[in-house]
Formats: sequence, C-alpha cells, structure tokens
Amino acid sequence: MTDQQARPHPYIPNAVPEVRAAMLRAVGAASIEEFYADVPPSLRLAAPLDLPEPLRSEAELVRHLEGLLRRNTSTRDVLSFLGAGCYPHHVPAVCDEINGRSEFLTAYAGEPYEDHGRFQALFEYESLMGELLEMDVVNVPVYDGFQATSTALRMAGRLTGRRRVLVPASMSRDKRSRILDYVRPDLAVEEVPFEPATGLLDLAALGRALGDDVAGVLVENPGYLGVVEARAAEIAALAHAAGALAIGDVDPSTLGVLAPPAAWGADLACGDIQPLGIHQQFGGGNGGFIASHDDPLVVMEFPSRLFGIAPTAVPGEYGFGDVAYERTSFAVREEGKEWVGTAAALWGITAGVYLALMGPRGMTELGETMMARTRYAITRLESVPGVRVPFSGQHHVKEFVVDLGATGRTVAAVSRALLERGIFFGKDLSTEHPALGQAALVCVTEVHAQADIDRLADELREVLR
Amino acid sequence: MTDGRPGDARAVVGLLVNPIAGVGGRVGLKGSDGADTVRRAIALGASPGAGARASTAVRHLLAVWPAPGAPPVVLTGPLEMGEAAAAAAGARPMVIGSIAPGATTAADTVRLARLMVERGVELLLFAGGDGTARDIHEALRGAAMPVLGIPAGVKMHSAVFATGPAAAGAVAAGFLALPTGRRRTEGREVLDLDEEAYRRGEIAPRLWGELLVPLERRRIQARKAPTPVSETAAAAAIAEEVAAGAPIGARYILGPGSTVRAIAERFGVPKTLVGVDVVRVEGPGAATLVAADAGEAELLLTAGSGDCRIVVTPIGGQGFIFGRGNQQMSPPVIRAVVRRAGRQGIIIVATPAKLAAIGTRPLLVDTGDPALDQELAGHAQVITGRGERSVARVAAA
Amino acid sequence: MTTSATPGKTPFVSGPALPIGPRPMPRRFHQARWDEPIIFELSTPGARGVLPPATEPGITALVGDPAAALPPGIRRAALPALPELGQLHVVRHYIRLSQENLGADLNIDVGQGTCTMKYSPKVNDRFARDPRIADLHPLQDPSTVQGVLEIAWRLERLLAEISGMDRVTLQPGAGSAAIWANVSMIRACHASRGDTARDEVVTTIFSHPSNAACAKVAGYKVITLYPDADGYPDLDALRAAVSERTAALLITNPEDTGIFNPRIEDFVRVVHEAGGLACYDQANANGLLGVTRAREAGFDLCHFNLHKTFSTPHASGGPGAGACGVTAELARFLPRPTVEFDGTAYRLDDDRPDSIGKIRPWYGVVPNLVRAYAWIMSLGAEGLREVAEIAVLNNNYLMKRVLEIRGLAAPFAAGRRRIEQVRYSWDELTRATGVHSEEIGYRAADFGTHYWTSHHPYVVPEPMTLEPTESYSRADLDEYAAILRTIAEEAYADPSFVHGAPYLSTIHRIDHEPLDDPERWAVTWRAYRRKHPGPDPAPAT
Repeated sequence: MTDQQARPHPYIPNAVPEVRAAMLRAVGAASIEEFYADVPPSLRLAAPLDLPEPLRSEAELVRHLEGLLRRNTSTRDVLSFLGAGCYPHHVPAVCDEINGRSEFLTAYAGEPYEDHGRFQALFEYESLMGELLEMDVVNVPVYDGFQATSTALRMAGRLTGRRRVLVPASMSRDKRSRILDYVRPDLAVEEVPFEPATGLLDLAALGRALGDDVAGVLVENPGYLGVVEARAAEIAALAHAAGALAIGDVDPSTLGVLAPPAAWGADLACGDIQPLGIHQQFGGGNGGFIASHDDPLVVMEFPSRLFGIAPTAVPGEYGFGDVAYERTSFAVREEGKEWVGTAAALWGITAGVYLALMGPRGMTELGETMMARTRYAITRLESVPGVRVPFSGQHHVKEFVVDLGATGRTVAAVSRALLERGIFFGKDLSTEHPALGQAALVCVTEVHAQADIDRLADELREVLR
Repeated sequence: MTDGRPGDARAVVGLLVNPIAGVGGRVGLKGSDGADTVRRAIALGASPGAGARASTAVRHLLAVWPAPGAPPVVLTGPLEMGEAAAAAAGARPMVIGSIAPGATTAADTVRLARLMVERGVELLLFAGGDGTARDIHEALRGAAMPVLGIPAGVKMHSAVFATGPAAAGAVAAGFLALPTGRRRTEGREVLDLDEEAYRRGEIAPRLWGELLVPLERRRIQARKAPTPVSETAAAAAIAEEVAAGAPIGARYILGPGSTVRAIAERFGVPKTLVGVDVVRVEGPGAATLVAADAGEAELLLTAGSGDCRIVVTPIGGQGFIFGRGNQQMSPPVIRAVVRRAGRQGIIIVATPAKLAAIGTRPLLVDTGDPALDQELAGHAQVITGRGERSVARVAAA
Repeated sequence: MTTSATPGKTPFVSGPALPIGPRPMPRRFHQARWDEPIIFELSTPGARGVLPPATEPGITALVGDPAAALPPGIRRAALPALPELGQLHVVRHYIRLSQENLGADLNIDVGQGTCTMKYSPKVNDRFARDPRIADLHPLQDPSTVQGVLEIAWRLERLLAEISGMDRVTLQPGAGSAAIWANVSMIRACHASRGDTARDEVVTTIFSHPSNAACAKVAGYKVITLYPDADGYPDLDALRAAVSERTAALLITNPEDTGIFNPRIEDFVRVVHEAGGLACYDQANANGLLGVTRAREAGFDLCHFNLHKTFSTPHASGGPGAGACGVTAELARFLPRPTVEFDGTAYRLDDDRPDSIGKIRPWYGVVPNLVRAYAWIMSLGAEGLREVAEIAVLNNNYLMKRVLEIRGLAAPFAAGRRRIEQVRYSWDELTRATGVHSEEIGYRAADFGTHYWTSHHPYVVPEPMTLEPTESYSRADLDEYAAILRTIAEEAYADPSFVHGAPYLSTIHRIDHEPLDDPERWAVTWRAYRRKHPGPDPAPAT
C-alpha cells in the first residue's frame, strides 16, 4: 500500500476512504469514474503524470524548500543599490502583519456585506493615494505600473479621439515594450528625446513632435534615469496647447517631497505602488494605480473597478460599492473593452497601511532623507577617479546615473568585482541606453546609511584602482 | 424617499385587471379575446385567474413597501377590474370609472387606462396577457406613464411583464419608493398574435409598439468582468458596427424593433418601431430615408435594384426574425435580396442580453413560404456589438 | 433530568447530564460589526505610526537639504492631507476591518464558483514570506538567486507535464494576463507567417469575459458561440463561425456550467483546418488533473490560474499568478526573459528576438510561484489525481443535496454528472416569490457565507455557481446546503424578509443609488467630504 493509500492527504478531507465511499453511495455512483463519462477515451491519460515523488510530510517539504532557499542571497545579506522599478524601502512590520491576516489573504470577491472590511480597506487605499496625488478618483490596483501606464495612454486616446502618444525616450526599454504591445491596435507611440547634458525632456523636440493627432504626453517624474523633471509644468502646458492630455507617471514614495502631477497640470496620474510597504519579492510585488480628477467623462473611461462610499439602510453607516457601474462608452467604441482581472488588491491594502503609518510627516521626511542620501552618494561617487555623474547638476530623489566610461572598465566587470565584495551595484544601462555608454543606475533610499554609501564609494575606488 | 415631492404626498399606483385574461389557456384554447371564446372556456370549466394573481402582486407590494405607515394609494377599476383584487390584498382602493359587471370588454380596459393617465397614476400594474398589453398601449397613445404587467394571460410574448406576480409587486415597490427624479424606465416591446392567424398555425407575434417599464436596479455582481452595459448602449454599439460596415450607395431595409431603430438613429433617419423603412446609405454613418413604412411593392422595387440588404432583429422572447405579421417583408422580397447578396444580405442584430434571454433556442423564421424558411435555416451570424458577433441557429418555426 | 421553562427564557436544565444537544443547523452566526470609522476620522495631529530614519549629520554637513533647493512648482507645496495615527491605532483599525471580512479559511467558500477557493496551505506562506524570497531584487546577479530560478524552472516543468505542453511561462500576473499573453502570441505567430488577414477570434458565451476582452484589445473581432440545447458548445455553430479570417479559438473545458465538452477534439480540429490556433483556458482545471490534458486534445496554447487550481491565496482580489503553456512551435514567441538551465546553472534569457516582449515589469508573481511549487511537490501525481477526483465527487455530492431544495434547478445536460462545478438557476423560486438570486446571496451573509452568480449576460436566469473543490469536508457541504435550504424556505414563506437581508452582517442593505450619480459618487474620502460637507465628525480621543 502506498503512503497515499495508507494516509489521506491533509489537504483533502474527503479522501478518507470511508468518507469517500459513503459519499459515492449518497450520490448513487459506483465509482468516481462515472463522473468522467463525458471525457472520451482518446483523451484520457493512460498513465499517471510523470512528476517527482511527493513530499507528503510537512517536515520533508520544508527541508526541500529550505535547500532551494538557501541558494538565494537576499538584499538583507548584502548591500544592494539596485532599483530601476523595484525598490529597497523599509517595509514596516505592521504592513506584513496586516497582509498576512488570513481574512484578507484568503478572501476573494465577496459582497460589500460579508467582505465589508476589504471594501473599506481598499476605499481607504484609494483615499490615501488620492491625498498623495491630490486627485479625487483612484482605481483599485491593476497588475503593475506598466499596465497602469498603458491603460492611461489608451484612456487618453479614448478621451481625445486621437491616435498618437508621446513618451520619453529615457523610459525603460522593458516598459516601452510592454506599452507597445498593449496599445498597438489603437495608438502609435513616438519617443521624445532627452537633453544629453541634463537628462531632462527636450522641450524643443516635444514642441516639434506635438500635433493635432496627439492624444497624450507621458511625463515620467522622476524619469527612469533618476532626474526630476523640473519643467513638468511647461510640458503639461505644451501638451494642453496642442489639445493633448498630460499624464504624470510617478513614484508615490517621492510625493512627500515632489509636487504631485495634479499640481503641475497633469490630467491623469499613474505609476507603481511597490515602494509603499511591499517587499521586492524578486519583482513579484507590483501594483499599478491610475488617478484622475472627478470628471464624469474621465471616470467613464476607467476600465478597472472604482470603489465608492454609499449610505446604507441605517443612517450614518458606511457601505461601499462600484461607482459608475455601467461605463457605456466602452460598448460603442471600436477599441472597446479593456480586460479586468485578479490584479493586486492585497498590495493596495498594504500600501494603504503604509501611508497610514507614515502619515504626512513620514512621507515628507522619507522624501527629504532620500534626496539627501542620494545627493550624498552622488557627491561621494563623483570623488572617485574616473567616475562621472552625468546629470549631477539636476535634482534627484532616489536614483542617479553613474558613468564609468572614463575608467576604461565595463559596468559588468565592475559589478562582478563589487559582488565579490558583498555589494550589488546599480542596474547596467549599457545595452538599454547605449548612448550613455558604460553607465549604471544606482538607487539610494532611506535604508542606505551614510556608512553604506561610504562603503560603496570606497569599494568602488578599490575596484577601479 | 420622498425627495422632490411635496409634504406627505404618497405614491399613486394604478391596478387594472383583465378579468378574463388567461381563461382560455387552461382548457386548451389559444387565448381569451372574444366573448365567444370566453363562454366556451367557462363552459369547459375554466375560472378566471387574473384577479388572484393581481391580489398576490399587490399583497407583495405592500409587504415590501419600506414605509408601512404611508403605503401607496391604489387606484383601481371597479369590481372585477381591480377593486376586488386590491381589497383582497388588504389595500383600500380608490375606485375610478364604471363598468357593466360580468360583461367587460377591451374597451373598458382602454377607457380605464386613460382615466388613470388623467389621474396622474405613477405606475400602472395590469394583470393580463398580450391582448391586455395591446389595449393599454392603444389607450396610452404615447403618454409617458410607466406600466408593468402581472403575467396572467395565455400569450405573454411582450417584454412588459414581470417574471411573476410576486416579482411584479417587488419591482413596483422598488420603483415607486424612489423619488420621481431617480426612477428609470426603458421602452419594452408590446407583441401580440392575431388570434385567428394563431389558430391557423401562424405563430410569429407581431410588434405593436412600446411601453415604458421600470428599469430594475439590480446590483449584479461585477467582480470578475468589466462593467456590464445597458440595453441602450448595447444597441448604440450595434448601430455603430452596422453603420461602419454599410457600403455607400447601398439600400438598407430596416425591419421592426428597438435595436433596428437605434441603427436608424445612427444613420440620422427617423424610424417607427413597428414599420419597415428603407434608407439609402450616403456616407459613413449617414443615410437618407427612401421610404417610410414601406409596403411590399416598394420593398420589391428596392430589393430588385442594386445593393440591398435587410436588417432584422429577433422579436419577442422566442426570437422570431421573420414572421407573417409583417406582410411587407414577404417571401418575394426576401428572396430578391438573397438572390443578389446571398444570406449575408440578411443582417441580423441583437444585444447580448437579448440573445442570452433566447438562450440556447434557435431564432425562428415563419415567412409563409416553407421552402424559403428551410433555405434560411442553419447557422447565421448575429451582430451583437462593436467588433462582436455571435453565431445563432435559425430554424423554421 | 428536569427542565423548567418560562416562555421567552432559556429552559433551565438540572441533573447530571451536560446540556449538549444537536447543534442548530445552520449555525447562529453573527459577523463582527465594529462600525469602524474611515481612517481619516481617526487622525490626531502630530501622532506618528512609524518613523523613517533621520538624515545623519554627516550627510547634512556635506549636502545640506536638497529638498529645499527644489524649485517651487516641483517641490510639494503643502503636506499631503494623510491622517496621523499612532502605530497601535493603525494596527487596531485594520485588524478590525479584517474581522469584517470572511476569507476562504473562515467560511465554507464553496459558493465562489469558477474561483476554485481551495485551502492555501500555511506552510507555503512561510516560504513565500521568507526573506530569501521576499527581499530578492529581480536584477541581482543570477549566481545569487539560483534557488528562486530553480523553483521557477522546476515549476515550469511540472506545469508542462500537467498540461502536456512543451514550454511554460510563469510571467503573467494572473488569469486575464495569461489570456492576454496567449492572444499576443497568437497575434505574433500569424504575423510571422505573413498571415495578416486573420482578424477574428472565436470564443463561447460561458467563457470568462477576459477571453473576448483580451482579443478585442489585441485588435481582433470576436465571435461568441452559444451552447446547444443541452448546454454543450455547438460544433455546427463553430463550423459556421470559422473561416480564413479565424486567428484562434479561445475555449474553456469544462465550461462554467461544469459540463465537459466530449467533442473538444473536433473543436480543435475544425479550427486547425481553418488555419487558426486553438487556445485552452484552463481556469476550470481542478477536476481534470491527471485525467486529461491540453496536449491530448490538440491545443496549441493553454493557461492556468495558479490562485485557482494550484492553491495560491486569492488575496482579496490579487495578486494571483498565471501560467501559459505552448507547443514547441510557439515557444519562440514566449514573453522574455525565459528561465534556462544549462546543466550547471540557471539563468534568465533575454535574447529572444521573436518574443512578444515584456508582459509585466519582471518575471512573474514570485511569491505565488513558490507557493504553487510547494503545493504540487506536496501532492505529487497521485495526490493531484486525488485532488481532481475528490473535487468532482464533492461537486456531485453537493449537487445532489442542493437539488433537493425547492425552487432550484441545474439547467442543461439533465441527469448527467458534472465535473467540478455547477451553474444552478433559482428561476422557479424567483417566479414564485419575487426574490432574486442576488438577494439569496445577501441573506447567505447572515450565515457566514456567500456565493457568486455568473458572468454577464445571464444565459442561465437567476444563476448561482457553486464549486466545492477538494478542500471541504462532507459536513461543510451539508452545512452549506442547509444554509441554502433555509433561505429558500424563508423566501417562500416571507419574501419581504429576504428582500431586506442581510441582518447579521457587518452592515445593512446598501443604497447604490448615489454611486451612479456624478453629483454624489465618491471614490475617495476627499471627494466625499467635498460633496457631502455635513458636520465634522467628532475627533478621535
């Protein structure tokens, strides 16, 4: 007798042989085979699946996974300066506590009665983000920032009826690839170059690129290369003058210190919430947000759910439900629906908890200290012979470009050397942005102490010697 | 709940019972229009059931009414035309009009319905079948009083009925409890068969017109999909799709039904609900009216000259796309179109909700020419939205 | 034993026997109700929940305060109006909200049909939350992440064996994202063959709406098939629908009705003969593990929802995780990067010129990949087969119990068994009582559970879709059936009572009216305060 036969699996209560038999009798079936009568013999598998031997005892399973986990080195064990869309911030213990509660973790799609808690938590997430963004409408999270940006661009297309969008050429190649794949049937995507000296969007080139067929201008602030887009208001004004929408693609962790897109004229805001209390998880912790002002025409173009607050039969009691239930414009337009799926609600709840913990002062202090640490890192690295920070004269919040060209060494080689010394260097930009040469994108957040930054500078100097 | 209304004004609901509706059904007759049929039915042992169903509806309305201290005012016809049913349900009806008891006819229904309009009834609940719905349609002559049918007839093809007497009460309560500004209605089709034609074996209903019915505020679970779309928006989407695919210079024969009417609206052309109109496509989404409420002769001329298509939508719960009720779209007309353009010359449109209601049953054709019916049978594509189609079976009725 | 009973009072039982009798069925549930304010109402100016690190003096000495140097207009002008709470009060607020939520651990969650709400093993959460998964950066040198790469590589192979497909990607964020990836690959495949005339996709009315929606977003026209009178997909309708314009068939089997399409191979063949690709939405795979596969039916692509069949938790609406399987011919279109193993080390391969590109920022919802891997490894082939068989047994057992309930029916395929779920109809009850399916669902909240009706539009009137999975016991299923029976009898006896439900839940019946009115709707607290000024709420003490 196999272990399977001798001991029913703990995840399958009715596998107990007596129970299984009693239920078959209750149903009036001789065997479970009867239930598969509609599956033709030609489709039935002749043999069991060829899978590894099961680890039926929990202890053996833990041991097996431990063997695999042991072969990972986490960013807790080394000094990491990697960012580029996945950020090393401190995750407060309360965030992990709340998103570990099984009532939230194992819930799905109940009604706003028995799952009232989930609705309120997500309404509060929308509200907290709304204050950060100074916008009245924020959606329930979509899969990630790439999806949010893609959707915001399509919304701009639907709202204006136009078919071209402008995006910064400094954008991540991966993000661009994702956007292209998603908007291709409806929108043409054109890149606007950045000024080689500053990393800022080239306003003259933008002016030339604008036309009466442009639906939206995407402004990343900070840009992918870490530079604060100081002329964002001018970009928005240029877009509006051409009848296009301005879309602010932002990192919410910077909004304690940077003005939100609404303040510099953006019509839509979008981005990723991973920096707000969500672990890096090898890139598995993303969630996307889209926000707008409370204009019914815009609200009708949101493809995702919007939770709103509603009264109940008891005065003073709060309930929640779907806002703008029938977004009828979808039916009529050729582009039609976008798709909505199981996206990132738990990360939305987590981001809400994070913002509630941090409060206005915490978010401000976060932004200020990131800017200070980043500027400190820039200054220290610039003092390493051969190392340049090309956009040093610009404002940065948490990332900056480092150019190793003058050292004669590749980023890849330097990274390997630093790895041996227990440091993860910044993202290698040399294939993604060849015009920048042997450049890397270094990320500094509130978790990097002065000693950490000093160590990076010192080790880099050693490696380049 | 009383926003927009003065002081302690109460909602006013009308109740009209067709006392002989449904009489014929139980004993195998095909309806109860006509005194002769009624006498035969009662002789066979049938007893009128419309009153009892009306009572159930009113009882249910009162039971779920949110303000028990201020129930709606119930305005009814006398005796068997509503008063008795309302009283049996525990309401204190306000009776209007007069009848000859035991000898009521369709004319009484029409007269009482008109009185209800005059008296400012906010929702008319009527117990009956298609015949009663037709009478009320005729009585209203376009007046904007909303109605809701308590199903009690034999023939209930019209889309103006609730799913049952209790449901009728619940929908009525939900509707009237809203302030007037927040009540929503939707036009629904009134269909009926000609009794004699029905007994001869013609079973396709004819579209008579439209009545306003409360749009039920069903909060349907939207959890796994983008939000659903209203019938109006769905029809508009279909209209976009048809307009986008219409070749310039082609003539379109537009059949009856509200979905086809939406297409005419998209083309910028007025259209009646029940008639067959011909338009000529002039440009993208623009057309001129060639013939309104065309007869067979005009349609034959159109079908024979150049690029011509027919646009039809399933009528009634059974989904008839061609029936003998529309004499104009005769077999020769249909054949002429098919000869030139093939079966693609017949454009079938239907909203997803309409197809879902028809479910797995086929769309039906009853042109009067069995051979043509067989030719049209098989699978056909149905336009259901912008860039969206379905495949439906078409069968001879 | 003697009792003395006074009307309205609990009888006093004296004597040696314990007052343990049969428990009432259904149980006398009451949900937690905290009447918890919106978090903004709990704000106390100056309170702090967590402190970020202060900038060290050594840093300030060198660089000053760079934030102060930001130009006006780029510097945030005013503090964001976030609430201020101490840490305990944040904890308390969200724990209270969590108590006002059910979750599959808490309730007999067999009602969320098609969602496959099975038990998410706690040991798998420990793996997912381990810092050696949670604190990995996706751009780390591969030598430092061999463990997680190996988990992904192994999971791909497990799913390849389970589906019979040649290559698998674990990048999609969940099911709809997986469908999107498949549709993108279909588009890329036809483009690579120069076959640009194919602009139509065929699907069915019972498929998940994302099949049609993803196809539309990708630029295809969608043709939706209705089932035949028995509820099976209509093969003749498919033949009428395919042509040289057909790019693909997107189909689920069994469909949400729980009925297996015995002619699925014919469906695939018809599409192949027309030059299209066949794509299998395996959201409903839970009853078929080890029984049949995508490969045997001839599919070119398939996808799984790891948060359904493979136990990863639903997380209040995500993150889930999706997996796509493809034949060798289509492997070159897979999203990049792919996970490769050269016999010694694992790496990520980004050099894939025909790839559809990135479908998300990184490589997939990694914590859920770890959970799914551990789940499969715990069960093995025999265990997966047992999962399927018991899920099917549970479903047919529950169907027998609930069909005893007055007013309820299971349309289609009368008298035949189902696979892992059933779509029921309350139409008979609604006609008799006026109570709708949604309202029965609301009343179910008073017993600590709920259910899902159906996608739109409702082909089955007044629908209810139940999917027990293998996780629930016989007693759970009996209790759930008892709950539905109780509510049905209430509907017949006093429909107005059911109309007003729920009564024992966290809140009372919601008035949805304002949510459709632009003047009154409010997606955020700031919008709500703007549109409904009212008196200021009492400050938190």
